[in-house]
Parts: sequence; structure tokens; C-alpha cells
Amino acid sequence: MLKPKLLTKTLQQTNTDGINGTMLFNSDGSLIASSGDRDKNRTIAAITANIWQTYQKKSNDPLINSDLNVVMINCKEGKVIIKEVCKMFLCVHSGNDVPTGILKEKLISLAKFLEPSLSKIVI
Amino acid sequence: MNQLQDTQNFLLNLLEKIFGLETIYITDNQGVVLDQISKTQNIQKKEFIFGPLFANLSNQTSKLGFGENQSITTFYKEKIMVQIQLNSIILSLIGDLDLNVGLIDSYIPTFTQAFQHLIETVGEIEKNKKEINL
Repeated sequence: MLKPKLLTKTLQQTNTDGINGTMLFNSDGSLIASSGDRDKNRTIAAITANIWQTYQKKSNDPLINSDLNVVMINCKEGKVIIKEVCKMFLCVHSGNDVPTGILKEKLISLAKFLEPSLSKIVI
Repeated sequence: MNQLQDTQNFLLNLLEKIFGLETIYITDNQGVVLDQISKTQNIQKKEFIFGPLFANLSNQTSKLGFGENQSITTFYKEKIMVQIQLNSIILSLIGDLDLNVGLIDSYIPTFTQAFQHLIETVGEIEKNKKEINL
């Protein structure tokens, strides 16, 4: 069983050094847990789920021909990065001042940490 | 013709300078291929599906609440693709897992300068299209 409060607390720990929000959501973009501005996270989850699915569907193009691992979106005023973990999606967003490498490493570390627990959930 | 040659030379230079880089596409905002070059693949077919894909997704990413989309980097299990919005054109760079994404990011102002003539030309065409439609 997922412990929602504990999960939210864990996600909150990522929100340091310029990271504004961390969330876990389903492939349809519906939030499972999040920390930060909930309304903003809800919008980000919905849009990024679609972006992920769009790139994943085309991953068998001969130029790529491999599965998607991480998507990183760089906008004028912020960054969003998404990774799949156990058929769910982990996402972190920040302002533009956070180095992309740190954002990616934090996301991957969080995914590794959550994977053993999330793998026990059947979706 | 000189400008076309300059673009090709610049792309060739990039392929040599950036470690891990394999293929470069330049497309307009509708995904139409304007130029391409590849180290590993013989790109016969002109269609590049990620061009229009990025153009469509750029509209969505602008709704994230972080302003206009600048680039999307997709890390696959065996490849990395960096797609950059340069005003009226899209630059797509595909490489292996050694591709230096940080270096590509730092080159964005250089890309804007190098492709300025193409950006202006395509921008002018898009502007004329809209005027005709009105």
C-alpha cells in the first residue's frame, strides 16, 4: 500500500535549491502525489504526460529505435523534467537558475529511491 | 547559393566538433525539412517525423506556465535528441549517449547567429502566408 503522507513528504525533500515542485502521476496525467503548488502541478502533470506519450509513440523511428528514458523541457522561465518509474511518471520543475544536470540527477536519484516501493503497486 | 553552402559547412563543422553527434535536421515550424546532414545514416527520405511533432508540442509546453518553449531534450535508452526552437526554425540534433547536451545548450546563441539568414527568410515566408490568408 502507498502511504500518501509519507510519499508527499518524500517528494517534498526534493524541493530545495530552486526546485519548486515534484510530483508523481499516472500515464493519463492524473496526480498521485505532489509537493508544491497543487494546481500548477496538476496542469504540468496533464501536459507532460501527453508530451511523454507523443515522443514514446515515435520511439521506433529508425533514427531513434529505443525506449524513452527522460524528457527535459526548457522554457524561457523554467524547466520541467520527467522520468517513467514503474509505469508512473516522476516530474520535477524549477526556475531557470537551476542547472539542468542537477535537475536530472535529483530526478534519477528520486526515481531509484522510490522504485522498490512503487514496483509493488499493480496498476 | 553561398548561404546554403555556408549552412551546410556549419552543419558539417558541428558534426565534427560535438562528440557523439550523429544527425542534424533543420525544419520550419510546420516540420518541413530545410536541411539535414548525417554521419551515420544515409538520409534519403526527406520526412523527419520529430519536426512537426516538436512544432505541435511547443504550443502545449507554452501552457505549462513557464513562458515560451525553448528546447526539448529526449533521452532514450540508446540515443539523445535535442530539439531547439530558433524563432521560425527548429534545429534537431540526434546523437548517441555520449552526446554533450550541456555543450549544445551553450551553443544556442551561436546557432541563432549562424542560421540568422534562414530564420529571416522562413519568417518572411510565414508572414507572407498569413497576409495572403487574411
